[in-house]
Amino acid sequence: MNAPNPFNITTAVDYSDEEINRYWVDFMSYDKSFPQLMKTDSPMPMLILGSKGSGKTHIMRYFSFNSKKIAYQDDFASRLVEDKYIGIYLRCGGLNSSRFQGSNFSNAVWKTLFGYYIDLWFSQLLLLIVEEVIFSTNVEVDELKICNEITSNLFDNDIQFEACKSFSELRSLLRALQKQVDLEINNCSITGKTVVDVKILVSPGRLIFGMPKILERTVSIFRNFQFIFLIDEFENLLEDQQKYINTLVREREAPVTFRVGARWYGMKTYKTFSGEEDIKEGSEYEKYVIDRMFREKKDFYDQFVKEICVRRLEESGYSLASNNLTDFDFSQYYEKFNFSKYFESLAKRGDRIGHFTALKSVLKSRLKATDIQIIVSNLSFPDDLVLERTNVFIFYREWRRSRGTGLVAISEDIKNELDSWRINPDGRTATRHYIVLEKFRNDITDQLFREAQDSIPYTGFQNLVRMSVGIPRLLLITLKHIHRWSVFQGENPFRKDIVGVSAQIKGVEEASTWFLEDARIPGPNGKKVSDVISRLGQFLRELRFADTPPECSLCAFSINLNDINDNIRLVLDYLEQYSYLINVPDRIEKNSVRKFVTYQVNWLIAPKWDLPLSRRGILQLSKDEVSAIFGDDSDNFEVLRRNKINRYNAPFSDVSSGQSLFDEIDL
Amino acid sequence: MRPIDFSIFYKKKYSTLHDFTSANCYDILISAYNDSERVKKVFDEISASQKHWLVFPEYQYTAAEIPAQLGGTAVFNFTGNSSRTEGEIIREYFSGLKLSSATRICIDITGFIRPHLIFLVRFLASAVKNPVDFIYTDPVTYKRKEDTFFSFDYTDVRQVEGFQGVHNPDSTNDYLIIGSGYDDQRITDVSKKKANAKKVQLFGFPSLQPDMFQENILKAYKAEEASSSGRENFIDKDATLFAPANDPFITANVIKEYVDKEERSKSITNLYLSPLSTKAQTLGFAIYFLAECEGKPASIIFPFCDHYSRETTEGISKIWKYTIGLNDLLVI
Repeated sequence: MNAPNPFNITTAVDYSDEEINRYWVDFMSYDKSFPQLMKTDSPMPMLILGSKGSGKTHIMRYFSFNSKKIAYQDDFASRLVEDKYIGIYLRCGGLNSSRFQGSNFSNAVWKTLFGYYIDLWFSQLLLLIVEEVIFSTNVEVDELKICNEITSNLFDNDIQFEACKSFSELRSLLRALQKQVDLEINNCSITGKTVVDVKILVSPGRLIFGMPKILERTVSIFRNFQFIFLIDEFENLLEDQQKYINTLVREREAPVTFRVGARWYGMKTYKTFSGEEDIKEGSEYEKYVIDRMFREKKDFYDQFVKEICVRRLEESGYSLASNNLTDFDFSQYYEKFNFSKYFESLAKRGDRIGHFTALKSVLKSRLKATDIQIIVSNLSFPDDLVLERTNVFIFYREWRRSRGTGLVAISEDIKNELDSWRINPDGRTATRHYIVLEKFRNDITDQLFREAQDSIPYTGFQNLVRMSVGIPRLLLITLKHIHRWSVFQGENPFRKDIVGVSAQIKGVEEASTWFLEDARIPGPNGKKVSDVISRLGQFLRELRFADTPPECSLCAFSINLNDINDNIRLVLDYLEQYSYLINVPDRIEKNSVRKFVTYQVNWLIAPKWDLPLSRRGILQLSKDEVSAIFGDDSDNFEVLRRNKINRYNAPFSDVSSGQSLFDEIDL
Repeated sequence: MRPIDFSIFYKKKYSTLHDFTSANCYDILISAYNDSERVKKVFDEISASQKHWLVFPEYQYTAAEIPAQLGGTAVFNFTGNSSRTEGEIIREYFSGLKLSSATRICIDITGFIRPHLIFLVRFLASAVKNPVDFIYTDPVTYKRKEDTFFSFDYTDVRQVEGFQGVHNPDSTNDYLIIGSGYDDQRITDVSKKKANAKKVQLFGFPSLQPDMFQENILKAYKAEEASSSGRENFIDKDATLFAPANDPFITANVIKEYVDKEERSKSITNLYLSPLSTKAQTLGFAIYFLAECEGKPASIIFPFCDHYSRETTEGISKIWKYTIGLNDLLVI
């Protein structure tokens, strides 16, 4: 039987409360460990935003009572008192909130019903925890008295309830009230009735703020406690429903506070019902964007995900070679691609190799066969394919520069320069080869793979971490697929064998496909955004592999903000929020007031378009290009793409005039 | 409440359309219009005093493509307003219909959009006392095998109206039972919506045709990342159920047995059902809910789409008739 895949679980929702603790790894940045970030002693509400898979749920669940009580173990009472807070974890997905809308009732009615419903819901969750604390600590509590205070002081005056003798009975009462709302909504959709028969028995927020206040005053163990509602999956709420929570955040009353977790795109509004005003960052809430923080603190992130992986392996029963996590070298378990061996086998193709086939084809209509033969011979250097491909690269550059004249002489110059490179190592820095390789080495190497129609090897642990762009789940999913392939190919990873290159290539390919499928955007914009990313990927790939690429390591582009309209802004927002694109710091053009926004393609999908895993050159997109790729002018994309690509590919024609620039030149 | 065995309900298989039409006649035949031979031909040949085509917005027919009202055929075209919910459409349709206790109703579920079918079942349970015949026609094959596309333009996962349940704030032991068909993107959508729930997949086995089970598994595996809950094996005995693809009653029984078994070991905090496979199994999910889940922390959820393929299959294989006293299920 195979050993378990240590990376099988990739989402925190699949963990039990006990596993949430067991698999917990802190982010050890000097100023941003998770406890420092959560500030459980701070009354200031907090928004914890992040891409899907950035770790929001794991963090929020870790600080919830249900996980903490497991960590407290035998010291339950003392450690609870030491922590001085109760984390009440709530998943908005469980509210099934989309039923609080429809044509039966007015918006105002739905808003009221939802507010009432969520107050009842939160209160039941709170009572569940209170019951458990009282049971586990044996603290003396007059439940009858407290329940009486809650029902008589918090509910509307004209309501008489049967006395609740315990928190459990009070919870049943709240559940019965919640059930009335549930049944009303269900029945109205069957019958189509338009009048609500549910009576709202408590003012908005009164239970949520009132119950903790009473508990903090009357139950000794809760003295000076903070009650933190950890509201996760906020993106599942409709706009008006978020407004209600935002209003609670604004109007919060001690000892209650909130930590709200949402995906980037999940914050549909920052408005409140207090005059439609926004909640204010800084004074009314703090905000953290988890994956942005990870990206900004790259070294800490690398260590963080390494520890996550080590923890997975340990928990799955693998014993690792080293106990020292800081120095632990994960890359030893992932085979590195052997470039020299690959190039050796490629060199055997001689002048049938991809770059010469393409070159001969483009020269065929321009030069005599003997001249072509001389050029190919001058540029050949089978001892080192990267240098040979660099010869071809320089040749194309010079072709472009010379407007196609003297190509045989150009090839001779290149040959001589390479000879001097070989003979005089000290003088290499002055050669064009050196200058080109300094910037374009990765592109030239990848060009060799592409021209040989082989997959570019996105392999090695460091590269896999890099591809996760600050989103731990992306790494775990990639490792999961790689592990499966490794086992399927007969390897015994982390025990007898290292993970082979082939398994890594296949695993990365699957993870990349999964991402594109998983990040689908619901609604009418989904198809549009998916088309945009395809156009963008194709555009960047063709430029990257052009004969004379406009930039090195091309996976990023920048856009002049003056060039985008609301539609394009919306598409760009979607691409960023769903992590197709990663925003990189803005730049201001020198001596200009023009403001640019720069994005790079998520490196997990880089393999789909053979893009590099490093960002150097940034392609400045023109207004027309922006419109054709991202906007409503996509019909024009093909023409524009061809024009652009032809500008960078031999024979460097001007397609708009329908003629090659060099057709008239006598070669 | 007494325990119910869904297998006691009446079902009959007809090998040919002729066999069916010569043995059955109705006062009203209700069918959902689409381009499938197995929908149109059955509609044409069944004997009924009135025949009603329901044209759902998701098939996106233009006015010129809507079938003509001829003789006893009436067309109820709902394509005008795509924002109407399943409840609004079905209620509107029945608002103009006079049904008596003697009305013999036949509903061809083959071309129905699933949420509309599910709501229809709930609506009829309250509105009609006598049993209703549901018919379902097996195809010979799916047009493009496992590459057949069924739904497009996904909007959101939400509860089907009338099946919204009374949910529980405690979500520590939630379950999602998915009737997993070919439409893998929808399996992913629904799994992601209830990410914290333990996912159980119910596959159609035996399938409608022998090769369809393998195609089904191949497709469902594409949703593995979202639907597996981190399990080591895709087909896991603790999280995989099987019921015949064309038998709603065994489907309902299989769900019931599984839920009862799980409940015995630990109370399920919230139960979500999502029928994404054949219409016959969808009917099974709906009747299970009616009989077992009303007023409980359970609901039927569905990944809604704005657009469905008008034709996904070829040929007519067998015709099934399921006779169900829906109103009886409510009071069981």
